[in-house]
Amino acid sequence: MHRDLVFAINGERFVLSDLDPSMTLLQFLRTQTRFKGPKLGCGEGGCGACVVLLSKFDPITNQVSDISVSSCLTLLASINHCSITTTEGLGNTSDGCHAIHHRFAGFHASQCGFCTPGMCMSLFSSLINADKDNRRPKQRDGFSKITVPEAERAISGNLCRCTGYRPIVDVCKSFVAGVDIEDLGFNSFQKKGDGGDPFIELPFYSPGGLCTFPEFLKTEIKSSTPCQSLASGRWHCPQSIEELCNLLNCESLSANRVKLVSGNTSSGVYRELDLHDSYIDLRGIPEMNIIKKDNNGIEIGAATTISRVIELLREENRSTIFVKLADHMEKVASKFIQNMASIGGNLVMAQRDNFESDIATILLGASSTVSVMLSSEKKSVTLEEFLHMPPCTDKFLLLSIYIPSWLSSHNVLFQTYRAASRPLGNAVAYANASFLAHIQVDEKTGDTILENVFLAFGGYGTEHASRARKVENFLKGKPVNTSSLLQAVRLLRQTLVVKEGTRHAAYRLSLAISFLFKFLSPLTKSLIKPEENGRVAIQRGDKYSFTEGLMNGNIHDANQMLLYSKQKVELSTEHLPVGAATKKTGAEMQASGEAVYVDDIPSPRDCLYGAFIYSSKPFAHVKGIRLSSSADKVVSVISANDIPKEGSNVGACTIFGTEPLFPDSMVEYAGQPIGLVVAETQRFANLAAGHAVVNYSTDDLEPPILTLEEAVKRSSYFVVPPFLYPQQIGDFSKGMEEADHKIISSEVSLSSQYWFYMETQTALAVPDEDNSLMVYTSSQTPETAQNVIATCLGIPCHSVRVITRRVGGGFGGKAVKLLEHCL
Amino acid sequence: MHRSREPHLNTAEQRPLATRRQQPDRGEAVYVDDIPSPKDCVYGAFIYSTKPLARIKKVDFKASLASEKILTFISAKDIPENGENIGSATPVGTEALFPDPVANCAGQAIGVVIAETQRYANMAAKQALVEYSTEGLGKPILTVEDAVENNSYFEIPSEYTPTPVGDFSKGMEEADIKISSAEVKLGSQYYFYMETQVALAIPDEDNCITVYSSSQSPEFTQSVIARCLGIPFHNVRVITRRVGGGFGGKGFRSIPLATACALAAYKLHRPVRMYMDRNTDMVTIGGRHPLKVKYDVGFKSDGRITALNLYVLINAGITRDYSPYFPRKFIASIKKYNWSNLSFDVRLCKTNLTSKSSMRAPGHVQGSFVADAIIENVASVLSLETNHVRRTNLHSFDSLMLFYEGVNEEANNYTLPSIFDKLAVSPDYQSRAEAVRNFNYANKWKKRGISSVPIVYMVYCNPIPGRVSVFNDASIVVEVGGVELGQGLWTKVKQMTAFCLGQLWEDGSEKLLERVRIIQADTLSMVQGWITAGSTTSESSCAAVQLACNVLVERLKPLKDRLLEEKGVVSWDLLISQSVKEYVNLSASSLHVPSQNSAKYLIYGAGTSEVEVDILTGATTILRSDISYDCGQSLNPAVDLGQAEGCFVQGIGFFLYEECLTNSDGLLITNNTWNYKIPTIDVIPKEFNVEIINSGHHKYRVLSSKASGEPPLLLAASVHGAVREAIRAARLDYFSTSGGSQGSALTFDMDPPTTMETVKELCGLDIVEKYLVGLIK
Repeated sequence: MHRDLVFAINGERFVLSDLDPSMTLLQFLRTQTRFKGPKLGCGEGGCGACVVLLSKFDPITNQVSDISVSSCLTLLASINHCSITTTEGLGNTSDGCHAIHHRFAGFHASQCGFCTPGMCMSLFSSLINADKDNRRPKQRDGFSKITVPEAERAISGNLCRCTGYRPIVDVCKSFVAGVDIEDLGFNSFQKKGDGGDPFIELPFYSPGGLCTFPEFLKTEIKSSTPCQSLASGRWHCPQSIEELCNLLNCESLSANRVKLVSGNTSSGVYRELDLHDSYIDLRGIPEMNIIKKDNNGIEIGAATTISRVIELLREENRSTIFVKLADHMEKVASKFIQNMASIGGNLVMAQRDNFESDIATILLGASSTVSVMLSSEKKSVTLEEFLHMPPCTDKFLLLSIYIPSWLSSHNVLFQTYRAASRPLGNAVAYANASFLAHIQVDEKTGDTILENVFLAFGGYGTEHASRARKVENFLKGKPVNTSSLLQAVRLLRQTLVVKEGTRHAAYRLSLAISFLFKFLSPLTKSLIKPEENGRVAIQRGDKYSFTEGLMNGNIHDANQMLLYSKQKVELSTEHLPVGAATKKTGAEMQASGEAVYVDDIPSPRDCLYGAFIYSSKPFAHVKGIRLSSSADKVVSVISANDIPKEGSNVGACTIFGTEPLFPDSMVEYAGQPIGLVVAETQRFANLAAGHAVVNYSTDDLEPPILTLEEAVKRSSYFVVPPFLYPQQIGDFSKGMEEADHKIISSEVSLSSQYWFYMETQTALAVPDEDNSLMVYTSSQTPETAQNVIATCLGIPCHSVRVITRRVGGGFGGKAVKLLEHCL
Repeated sequence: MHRSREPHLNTAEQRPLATRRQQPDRGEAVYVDDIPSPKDCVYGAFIYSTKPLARIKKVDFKASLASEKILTFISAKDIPENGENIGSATPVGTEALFPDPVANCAGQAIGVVIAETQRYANMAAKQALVEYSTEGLGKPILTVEDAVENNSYFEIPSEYTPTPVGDFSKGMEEADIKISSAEVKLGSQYYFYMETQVALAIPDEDNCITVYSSSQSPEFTQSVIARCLGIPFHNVRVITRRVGGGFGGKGFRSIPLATACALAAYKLHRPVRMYMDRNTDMVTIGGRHPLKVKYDVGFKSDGRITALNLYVLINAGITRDYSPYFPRKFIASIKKYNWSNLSFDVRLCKTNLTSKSSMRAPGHVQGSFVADAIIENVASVLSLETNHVRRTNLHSFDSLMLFYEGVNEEANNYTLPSIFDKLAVSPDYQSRAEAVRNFNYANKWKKRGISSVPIVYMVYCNPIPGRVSVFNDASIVVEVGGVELGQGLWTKVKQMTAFCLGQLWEDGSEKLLERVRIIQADTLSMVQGWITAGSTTSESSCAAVQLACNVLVERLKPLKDRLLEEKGVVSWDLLISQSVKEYVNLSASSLHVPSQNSAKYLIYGAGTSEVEVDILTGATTILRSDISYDCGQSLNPAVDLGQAEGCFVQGIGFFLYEECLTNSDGLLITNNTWNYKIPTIDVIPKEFNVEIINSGHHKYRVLSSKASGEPPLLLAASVHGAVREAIRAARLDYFSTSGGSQGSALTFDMDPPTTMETVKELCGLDIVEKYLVGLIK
């Protein structure tokens, strides 16, 4: 059974029955929806411009989880039953912006602006998660529960090339309840109080003010059962190992290019060289989602995301090893990658593609084991054995990872290391390492003896992370001192073999040595230890005394962000060819049919079509409009009620006055537009408008005035302004007196004429950014059209661009009878 | 696809909108790729050469799923008969769009694969099998040394040739000490604008075409497209509303993509969009000019320099592009110090590499850095404090005028000495320098350094057009030649318009700012738009608007005076509604042409940075940076502050992190976010103080203002200098244990970028073993 893919974007429901399973969420958003906020910056999860919020609902716990994800790597088919929020979902200029939007503007934190929507979503994700946390105390109004370090890290994986980040950090910090307003940088929110004291009035932030998961989707999820395939059978969701095996052994599938996916983040590292026919989503397999904790360790399913692994390890904070692993894993990729990437995927990349994985190295140092399935057979092997097995194929699956907690062992030392160009991660390390040692202190000598030691190194230019067994064996049972350390270092230099062609091989090797030195030197008595750094000598007299830290705090911690900034600015207050019989411009084109008229303009995506419903009564109250049942293709009906508050009901305007676009309640002539039916196609719109049933009432109304006689009788006139009233010549009465003959009260009457321009009235309106509008119209008076549209919508004229290239016949009928259609 | 809606916002407490000018953060701003694709739109992706000098014999595609998606392939053969094979043109040279048939560099676009979606096009481009032949083509030139050997140079037009100062040989005779044939090398840098190169071309009736391009130079783009298609310029409309970062990379390097896109659209009679993937962008676009300098310098024992001679080899890549302007800018920044006598031989090497183009502060950042590298070398040889040697060689006003001949400057506006003294020789600086020495004395595995950099930056102003019109409802619309790149041009122009029209009221009481709207650059609407580059386009656009506003003010003034007499009070709305009735022309255009006095000027600033390096890993932490920048009277301090900070951080990238590496064919291999690291939030200074100095009256400037878009980038060299000082401290330790000379400890080459591995190499890769061995002895 193939199911439809159902999800929500900014609260709107989307249903897709057929789709290319290789389509990314970003591609979908940008090409098939009106949400263009998420930007494509790199397509490999490395810049954050495409970050969106992905929310999931758990029908059992009734909880919504919200995570930031890279939409350029997220496959659309993988978001079934999810809700996506983009920066448009936070707010907009018409309905009101979100505090995040206001603050990015006010702190001058957006220059070219291309990174900003992603920045907003990364920050929003951090805020919403902090504010949902019930363990944290409630904060004062307008502030978040987020902490300064969290706020600063909220956007740590997002790249910006313009601002230098400082103003963005200030935006993030501005949400922290305890933030010293004085510490926030140069901004436009600063006001002067009555006493002349400056204070900052920040745009109000309301935690939890935005619903990220629509109720209709919750209801749908509650009534649904796990699905087996989506996208017309090109996206498989096996719910057990058996189903997976069946799929993998299925002939129709094996002839195709199939990809096994979890978060699909690996496509950011190993860019796909070709398309795939179908995908198998591994996230529904219970064995790959297992979480089992006991006193000796934790078993984690391979499909578990890295961010979930970090959470699990932190929950078990009794084990310092778990805490250190979690600390290290925070530096593996950006938050929006950790939220999608699976731990198993990372290890498989390390195993199959020689990915320089930090996770493989640190788990190796902690003596982890893995559970694998090889040709339908499950077995358990050490992580080191797994890494050195023949490369993973579709028949060789990683199911789970077991990490020992080492809680029952005493005197265990564990450390992990990495060196990368970015302290907070989002950069592959030049080298990484993790060391575990059991130590004992020799009571006589006071030396530290290494009873047992695991030394795992990776990323330095080797295929797989591995243990430096020679060095381990050498150190086992020895006291740690200058001599043993030197020999260990020398042995390590011989042991580590770097692949040919590795860049900076010597540097990477020296890092491995530095790591070992950092680990073991604190166990010696005589060496100057790296940890002792950061102390500064202050000269007093001729003596040096050592104090911890500098006057401006403990700023040598590279993990810490911008701590302080100051911005000081001073404010200070044209004959030939004229006359020649040249051809009409574009005449040939018009003859050949190349000329583009308004309705020839390609419809933009998401373009809707409108048709007027007009009154069939000359003078009546409109009680209601009912669309016939066949009108299910109608998107909306637009009437006078839809005119913006700041706008006015104007449909035409001449120097003598205006006329309303739509009647407020009363139609004054038959043929008067009452409203506009908007539908997916012009045909649907026309059909619906034609079938609309208008309920009129003529109660209490006088009969309509339909003839000149009637008008005269009832004195129904428009006043002709005196300056336009034709001049009389001479004296009529006097002239009559001079006449020989007279004809009295003879009559001539003339009837009307319809313009019958070949092109009927037409317009295409395209809404644009910043409340502006581009209207292509077939008009004789674009300027008037601009004025009327602006007045109707309540926006300045400069926000309305009216373009008239050619008119398919006008004859005056496209001067005042201007009809405007606004989408 | 069905949709239904449900209210998304529930309890949001949102305030009404105060202003509607800030769009990018809400994702409402429309960049080129955000423009809805027209019906029948297809997508293109470049296939590029992986060989530096080869004949393209054939382009085939692998049998694959992706190849099945190919609709067509556009190459040089598709250029119309009356068109030219032209992909870019600058005032100093043109280049071909596609090889016909010889590709001249790895990374040169060969053609465009067209498919139904951008993803299909990108994937299909990867399936290309290009058959090359190098028969009879000779060896490619990949390095400046190869270029010298083969006499492969671009000419530097005489009007752009920099001028020497004094007599070098005489100056050398006065020297106490000489350094000969020292070398400095500088690498390239990639723009890394967040929005990669993008264009959307829509063919229209009568051989017309509209091209939306993310470009700093719509006018140049228009002319190249027209020439390529063989149609008149007035058939080509290039529209640029906003650019998602340019940094010079969309000055000329954006033109080939826009042209290829237009060619495909013209040929296929369908809209074509091309949005380059990051990897292709990095590989094909080029970047900053790498260069190599050899110098001889003579100086007195007190650090005063008497003569400098430079031999500069600039790697310009395969086409002229912007390069002929480069030497003038490089030398202008070298001249920031008083070298007493300065001579040079600057060569523009033509190599089989992607063309190098202007990148933020082109030539200037290299020149300024080389000047400081020479000063640092002199200080090392003399064992003097580097900042002292810097101060000794700062210009007096007289020597400044000698070195910057033809620049109109007044003595009291030469603020550099006072800015530098405050940041680099003040008691506060001295006590910090002392604290750094103490820290280094007390710490073995971490070292600190502090250093300062002064800058003198010469900017050039270009002519820019503008037009200001007022509508019946008194709203104002402005068009200028300058493009909004994120640098705040629109903001400043808006302010300028409000100011100029507001002058009708002596008290400036009419608040016109929110009445002004700036509209996108449209080459059919505004001619002579030129290029947005060189930091001065904002002010020149403001100057153009000022001219146009003056015309309007002149037309409106008599009416305003009359109304004032009649009514006592006149509002903008009343004035305009009456003007409409009385048929006052409410639209004025202008072209601002800088006078000889204002065509170029000098900018000053200084920066001090303090860093800490981890000797064991080579990691650098920037503890603190202070920059001071003379902006004249800032047109908008928030914008100028943002430019200064952003620029500085981009400079940190150049000096510490960003490394452009090529394979043996000159093809860029650092071509993605995995191996090309621009600064992130965790590497910026831990303490970052910026001062925008509001200095006096500058009569030749636009409202006394000075530019801010590029010069502050040069100040990031202070970070590099501080790292050098920290490494010196580490080397003194290292050499004291290994018994080397102090000279070799202090004097060493340290060419940017100074990445982690460079720091560690300079500190000693075997430092741990050396230390342990030392203890055992």
